[in-house]
Amino acid sequence: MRWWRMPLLLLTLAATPAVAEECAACHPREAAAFAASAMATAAASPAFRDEWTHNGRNPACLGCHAPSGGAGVICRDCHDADHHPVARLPVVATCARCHDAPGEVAVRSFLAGPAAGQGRQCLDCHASGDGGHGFAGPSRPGFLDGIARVTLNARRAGDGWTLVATIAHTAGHDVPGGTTGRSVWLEVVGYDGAGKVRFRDHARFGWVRTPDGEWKDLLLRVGKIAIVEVADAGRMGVRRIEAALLYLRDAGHVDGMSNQRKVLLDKAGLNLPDE
Amino acid sequence: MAEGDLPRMSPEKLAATLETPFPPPILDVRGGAAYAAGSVPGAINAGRQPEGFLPDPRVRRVVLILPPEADAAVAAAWAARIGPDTEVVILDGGFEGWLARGGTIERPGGPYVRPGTIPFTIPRGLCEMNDPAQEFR
Ligand code: HEC
Ligand code: HEC
Ligand code: HEC
Ligand code: HEC
Ligand code: HEC
Repeated sequence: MRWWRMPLLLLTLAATPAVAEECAACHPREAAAFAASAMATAAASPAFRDEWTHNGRNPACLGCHAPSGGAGVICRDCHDADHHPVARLPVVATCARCHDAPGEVAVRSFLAGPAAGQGRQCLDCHASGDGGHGFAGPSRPGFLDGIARVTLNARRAGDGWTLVATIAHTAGHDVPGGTTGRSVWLEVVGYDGAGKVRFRDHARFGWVRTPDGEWKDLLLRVGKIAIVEVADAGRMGVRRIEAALLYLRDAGHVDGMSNQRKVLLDKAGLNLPDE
Repeated sequence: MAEGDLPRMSPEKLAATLETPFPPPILDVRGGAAYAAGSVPGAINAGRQPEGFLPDPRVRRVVLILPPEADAAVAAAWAARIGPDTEVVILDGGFEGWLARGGTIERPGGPYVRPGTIPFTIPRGLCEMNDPAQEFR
């Protein structure tokens, strides 16, 4: 075991001594895979502790982050395991308890999208090849590799060029699938002939609260291609455009985000002709 | 319509392609007004003039939605602009064909915000309560 994992594991065991062991003895594969998932420590992560404390330690938060107490979600929160054989779980309905809420669109956008119709479900993408209990997600390094693609095109508009970017993704629901301040940013940078940055433009996909107090989920829709246009992209002598699609794991502006909390999903480039 | 020898794709095939992970870009070349009135979901407005379009250099296949009056010369001009390394496929029957087969339409305009253009607040910890634990401006 790597040394830096020890304190977290000890914390988990100390918090839930009985439950952590009651299933692990007979189901070691599932137990090991689940222990490494973000859900197993959903009430112990720094991000959660930080916000929970801000929110007056509202007990309702634990209804999803640690319904049985302890460091996070446990086997019994999904399995009613008192009597073996245990009944098979309906997958999506099991997840809906926590992943279908006003700010949590994973389940409802999944049901509205094409993946559901194609007979796929949550575990196909989030728990393959690890005993079915890895529940891998954006916090697992590499999980986001290749999930989205950007294209950059341009069309003439008067004397200038309008940049037309498209974004497609493979998730089974809207992206980001979750709530909170997570977001995807398309960053468009224009360089002049000498390679100097002339403009930076951003489009943000995520939740917002508009000035009239409404919550809006402006997300990358499931099964859809998003289109972002940038007018007059050749302004100020710009000859090359580069675009980066970034996944931000925390709320805030792309500029202030640390590299550990920011994942590059894809990038593209386009040269504008010399006039 | 006579678009020469370019390969074609039926509306049914295009609808199925749109449900695959990364469908080929769809270029609507009927002009801005027709595009704004509604197009195939995910199609981009590529303008009417082949010489006024710059394709993504990484893309290897596109689907073209031609205007009804387009002839073989128009199709060939687009293919010349986008090819030769990129395969250009024509949507059979154009946008009318798509509609006739019951294809869905979308009005362009993505659901996103441009930070800096309007004042808005980024929620965090919104999970269930409908009220975030923290807000960012
Ligand atoms: C004493 C060993 C033992 C313990 C402890 C145990 N299980 Fe099992 N479990 C089994 C065996 C053996 C099977 C497969 C045979 C069967 O169907 O009963 C099984 C099957 C299952 C299944 C598959 C469904 C089924 O019935 O085939 C689930 C889900 C499950 N266990 C969950 C749990 C959970 C959750 C816990 C902890 C609360 C737990 N088990 C504790 C031995 C155990
Ligand atoms: C987030 C919900 C969730 C949690 C937490 C969870 N499981 Fe499961 N588990 C499922 C689902 C969904 C299935 C697949 C449907 C089924 O077989 O019931 C499943 C299946 C199983 C199976 C049957 C596997 C098979 O191959 O048939 C076992 C055994 C099992 N879980 C054990 C555990 C143990 C042990 C834990 C705790 C370490 C645990 N589960 C935690 C959701 C969960
Ligand atoms: C008891 C509540 C609960 C249930 C039931 C539940 N989840 Fe979760 N899930 C959470 C919480 C809380 C988090 C946030 C963990 C974090 O980021 O710290 C989470 C996070 C996740 C993540 C993101 C992990 C990552 O690495 O970022 C995935 C994927 C996920 N859940 C899948 C599922 C699936 C699939 C099911 C149904 C089989 C399910 N969950 C059922 C509470 C639950
Ligand atoms: C309805 C279930 C539910 C409730 C209630 C809930 N959460 Fe969550 N929370 C989730 C799920 C699911 C995730 C993970 C997926 C996501 O990003 O939405 C999550 C993620 C988070 C994260 C991000 C964790 C990380 O590692 O980035 C924080 C922070 C958080 N919740 C705080 C809170 C606070 C504070 C409350 C109470 C005010 C709360 N949650 C109530 C379901 C819930
Ligand atoms: C076709 C593959 C696929 C299917 C099916 C799928 N997901 Fe996801 N999921 C992804 C990808 C890719 C991401 C990463 C991008 C994102 O955050 O949306 C993700 C992210 C998530 C997250 C983390 C969101 C966040 O902000 O941290 C949760 C929670 C989640 N999925 C739950 C589910 C649940 C529950 C289901 C079933 C109802 C499901 N997923 C079905 C691919 C899938």
